[in-house]
Amino acid sequence: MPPTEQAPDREVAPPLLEVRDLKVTFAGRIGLGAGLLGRKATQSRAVDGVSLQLRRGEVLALAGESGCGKTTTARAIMGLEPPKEGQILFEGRKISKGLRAYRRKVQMVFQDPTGALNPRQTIYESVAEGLRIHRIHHGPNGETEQQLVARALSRAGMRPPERFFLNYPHELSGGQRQRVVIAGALVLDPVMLVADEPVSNLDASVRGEILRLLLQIRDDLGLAILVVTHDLGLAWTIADRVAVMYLGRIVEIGPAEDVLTRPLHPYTKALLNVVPEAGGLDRPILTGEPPDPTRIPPGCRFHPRCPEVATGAARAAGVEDRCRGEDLGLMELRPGHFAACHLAAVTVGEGQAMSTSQPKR
Amino acid sequence: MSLNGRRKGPWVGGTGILVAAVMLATASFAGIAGAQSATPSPAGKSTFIYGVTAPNSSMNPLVGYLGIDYTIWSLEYNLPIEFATKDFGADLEHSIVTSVETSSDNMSFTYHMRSGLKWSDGQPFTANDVAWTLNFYKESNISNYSADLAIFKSAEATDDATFVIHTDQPTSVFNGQSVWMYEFILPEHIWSTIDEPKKFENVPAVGSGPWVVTQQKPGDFVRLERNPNFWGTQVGLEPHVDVIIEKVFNDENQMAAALQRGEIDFGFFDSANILNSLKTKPNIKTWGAQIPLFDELAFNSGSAFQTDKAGGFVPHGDGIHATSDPAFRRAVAEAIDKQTLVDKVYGGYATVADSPVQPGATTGNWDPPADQALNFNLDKAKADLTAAGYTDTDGDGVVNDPKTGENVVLRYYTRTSDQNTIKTAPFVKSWLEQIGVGVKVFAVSSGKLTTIIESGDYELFHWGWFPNPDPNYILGIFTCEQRAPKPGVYGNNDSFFCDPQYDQLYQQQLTATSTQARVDIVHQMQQILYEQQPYIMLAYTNYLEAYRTDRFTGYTTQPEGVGDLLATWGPFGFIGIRPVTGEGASAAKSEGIPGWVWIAIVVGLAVVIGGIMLGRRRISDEDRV
Amino acid sequence: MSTRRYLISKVLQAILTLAFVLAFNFFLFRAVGDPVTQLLRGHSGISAQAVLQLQRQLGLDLPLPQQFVHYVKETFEGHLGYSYFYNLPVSQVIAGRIWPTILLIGLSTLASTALGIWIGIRQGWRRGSKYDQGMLAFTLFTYSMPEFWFGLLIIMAFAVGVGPFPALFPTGGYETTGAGYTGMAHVVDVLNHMVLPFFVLTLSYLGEYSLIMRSSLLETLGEDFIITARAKGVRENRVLYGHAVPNALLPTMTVTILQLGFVLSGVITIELIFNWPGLGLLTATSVDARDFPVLQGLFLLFSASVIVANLVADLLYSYLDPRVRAA
Repeated sequence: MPPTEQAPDREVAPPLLEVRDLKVTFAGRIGLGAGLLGRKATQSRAVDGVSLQLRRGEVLALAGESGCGKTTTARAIMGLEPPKEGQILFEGRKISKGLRAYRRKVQMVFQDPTGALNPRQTIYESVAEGLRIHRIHHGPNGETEQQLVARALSRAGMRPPERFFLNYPHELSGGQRQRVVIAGALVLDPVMLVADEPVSNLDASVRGEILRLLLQIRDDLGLAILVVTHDLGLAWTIADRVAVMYLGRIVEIGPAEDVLTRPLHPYTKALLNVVPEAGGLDRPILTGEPPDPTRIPPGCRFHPRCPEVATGAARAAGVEDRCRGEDLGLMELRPGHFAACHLAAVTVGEGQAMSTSQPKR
Repeated sequence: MSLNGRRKGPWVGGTGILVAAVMLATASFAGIAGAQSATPSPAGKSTFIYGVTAPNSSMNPLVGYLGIDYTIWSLEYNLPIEFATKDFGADLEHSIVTSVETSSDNMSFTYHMRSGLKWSDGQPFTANDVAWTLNFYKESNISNYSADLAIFKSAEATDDATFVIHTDQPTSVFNGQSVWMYEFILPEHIWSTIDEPKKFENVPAVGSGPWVVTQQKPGDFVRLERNPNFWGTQVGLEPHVDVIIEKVFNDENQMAAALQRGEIDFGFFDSANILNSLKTKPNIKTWGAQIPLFDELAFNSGSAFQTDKAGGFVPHGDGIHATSDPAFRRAVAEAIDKQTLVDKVYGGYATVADSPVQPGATTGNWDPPADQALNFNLDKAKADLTAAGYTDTDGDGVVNDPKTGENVVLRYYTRTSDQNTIKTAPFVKSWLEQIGVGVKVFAVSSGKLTTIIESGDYELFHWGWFPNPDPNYILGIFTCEQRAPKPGVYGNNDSFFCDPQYDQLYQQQLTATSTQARVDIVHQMQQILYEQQPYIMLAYTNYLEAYRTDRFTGYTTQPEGVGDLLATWGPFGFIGIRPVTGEGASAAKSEGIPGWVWIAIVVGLAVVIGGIMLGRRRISDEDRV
Repeated sequence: MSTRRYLISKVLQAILTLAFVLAFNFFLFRAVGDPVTQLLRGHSGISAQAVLQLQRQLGLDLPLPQQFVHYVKETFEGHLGYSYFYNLPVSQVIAGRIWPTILLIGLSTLASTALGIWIGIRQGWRRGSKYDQGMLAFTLFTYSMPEFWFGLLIIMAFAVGVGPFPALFPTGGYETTGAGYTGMAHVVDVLNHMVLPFFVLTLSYLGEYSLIMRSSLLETLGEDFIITARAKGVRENRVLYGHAVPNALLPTMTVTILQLGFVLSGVITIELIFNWPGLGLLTATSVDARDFPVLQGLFLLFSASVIVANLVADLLYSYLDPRVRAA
């Protein structure tokens, strides 16, 4: 059941996290000889102008195909990738200032709990590491480290926690490992979680448990959660808002219910085609080459694969030339529901073409 | 600084310096060591070190068989009569035996010894030791000595300074006019108590010579020290060197470097190139010693076709028929330009050879008369081949055997351990192909070639011998009974030569009752070998020697003027050498850098490394970003 | 499977392998040829009686199974036969060569491991940097350079002395022959002789370890727990040495320990060039001299040391990596 929409109140409180026009580039691999000769590798624009906001207690799903830049966005938010341009503000301050304090408040959960745990550390050590890094020896109420670890494990559903202290990761099931990872995040009392595909590596039987756990944490502790996922179905289950990424950009963002039941962008529509909950088989199926971040097409970056362009719907609406030639940003086509599509802008009505991301070129 | 913080720092310099530092630190430590170890041997003892290129086969005179083993035993033990330095003749002035009397039947020989001789352990050395040793060698059938003792019956000591040798047949060889007995005399009180004498390591040894072996590391070195009881001082033989070390090198280049650095004083080399490269080096002299040593191309003279059963011989091997034909072998011999090989392959450190008994041997080298000589002449060789029936009947450019009709193609083996054999092959191949004889060249290890020879699976190979000064041994290897009787059994007769007339002469030279009569017979035997060419004698090769002029002096040559600088047939060469003193003497074995320089370098490096490590740690401890 | 059962199975496996090698060695020796014939090489005219006596002595008149029992018994008592070439007991010949090999090859293996790991860590940590690329080129070069050639150059430069290089070190050998040093002077003398071969060997094998360490560190650095650690604010130094290196060391350690098993085999080329009287040189000369009993003894020793090293690697691996304990 989708959670209730929390009314955004921009005027009153600043967002917990604000990402402004984030760009991250990678250098491609180059050979040893070329490197020694000082040749530069081609730049790959993994994230190319992403802006988003996350409020306290809110769950935002960042969705898209693999390679769309969603994980890079998450890592940049975690301070793991340096942004080439743009800003990441947490509680109104740039994260690059006071990264240590930020790291205590923002925690990350990974797709593969097996890889996310150091195989040579016991469960206790893994969970306690965060405390040790941040030199937290006692809880706010004078709890010992052991009590803090036990509480975190227990919140993450590992009960009784003491039983697992001396186990090694390989001795636990996949679901248990993910709970340990979550406990490792919770032990620091964070205000925000970034979860990168938190259940996609787990057995179907335990996925529900972990998702329920995440929502429960949000409800109990008021955490904001940024969920990165390729699965719009999951987004529907868990998120308050959904952002859909394509080739380094957010192409549609809005309340989950709205985005998933009344999508504006042809790409979102195409993705929803494979989600059983969304039903309907008349939607177009995505074709064409998968996107390549080293060769970004001009105009709307989705146009080479866009079914609306392929079927002539764009031409009929008289926007095909703009699709092919004019880059565009997000436009608020419905209240709180933004999309970057020339066709949608025409068909939904001009609305307020409020752009949160101005193309620079 | 970047967010993902692959930190730039003094890494490159750091690692580079650290790698260099670790190496240099070891080096410096050892450099100090080098400076220290530059001091010469303790307490003014003089140590003479000579290098060899192969390990000893044994320190035990019943077992070892290499030339370098004999060198050691020559220092450690005495022969009844020693080889003269001058000419390998009998040197009764410097032997334990002073005179020999021959009985009228030429079957008993009375040897008179010096008295008051002692072993290195202080026990008396008497005629009993000599008689016991000779009887022991005979009874135990020790292969090193069986040829010398073939007609020896027994020896007895009649008093402490006299022993008598009895023979089965009349002979001249024990008459004391030449060194017949290459038998090292052992101390009876040691060897008679050993259960398995052939397994006796014999280190440290008890001997009677000027030095005795005190230590060996097999394959590394042998150490000999002065025998305090050496009897030779009685006759003016006073050694000047306290310690002699034979150092084994497995790589000749390495030995050359060691000589240049002064780690050794003397070296026996195998390669003319290396010797020539040493020629111009300071304080080093090189020398090509003419000694009993030759290289030959040996034929398989018919291992598969012979029927003489001497020595239990069973025909074996797949050698072709042609090489069993003396006419064929003679024609091939005429196609070999020995002088070219001497110049081009042996670098001039050899002379052209014709007989296995070389000039300078104690008993009679024979030279072919001019009209019988098989001189290099490809046209004559081709004509002789044709005359013997070897013509190219199938027109493929290779002559065919008149008996089997097959192409005559020789499998020709060279040895990987001897560059000269490998360098000779292309010459020989080209000459033989010019007379229509096919050649396939193989290079194998010496061990492998031994097996191939025993099996008779070859036509031609290149090897050499290091004969005794007396021709008995080297002439003996051409007798029928010394052929390998079957594959897998060793035989000295590696050409499978077998001629009843030759064998008869071999027996006669043993039993000739005058030295001159024996010389005549030995000449006849050489003539047979020359006419039949089981061996194409290539060259009398030189012993290649190099030594430092700033360390020891007093080298003699054996034989006089042309031979071995260390006179390794007997101890006299070693007795003559003495340390260089006064001007030009260099005591230190390495120059090295003064110790304090090394210490300064080490301290300096330690400071640099320490600084880098500390600096690095500080940087890394900072928080990221 | 419990840890104890894992250990027992590994030990049993090693013992079985050793037994197989023992048996293989026995039959190999007999396949090479009749040992008596081999022993009598060069001793012509020996009597049939003497042959019989020798056969009895070697136990060769017994049926094959009994011979095998005899051989195993002899081997366990340390009797490895009698060298044809040195005419000494094989155990004595080998024992005289073990220490120089352990010293040189052992120390240089440890040194190249330590340095290689150190360099590999830095390369992996700063992948693609000039340092990484430079070191990669350097270690690949030294690794692919023929040891004997490198060794000869080093001898030319630092032992003989060419041009600006002073003749600093001995050309080869284990000690100053005949100097008769004792105590500290002896130690220093041996070290002095060891410098050049140690340098050549260490440099030659550096690449092997740095490449393994580099790639295994790169693999580990890509793991999520490294990102987790970073995301939690773990300092870079601790990310590297607390999380990445301990995990990445495992493959390198395994290779190192296995390599230590080969230490006894010596390095033939280097021992030849530097005239280092170790087991490698002994192998080379024994092959040349067809000294089968020595080769047989060496083969047994080499196999045993490799098997033991394998066992140690297995046991150590299980200690270091909790995952293996249960595997």
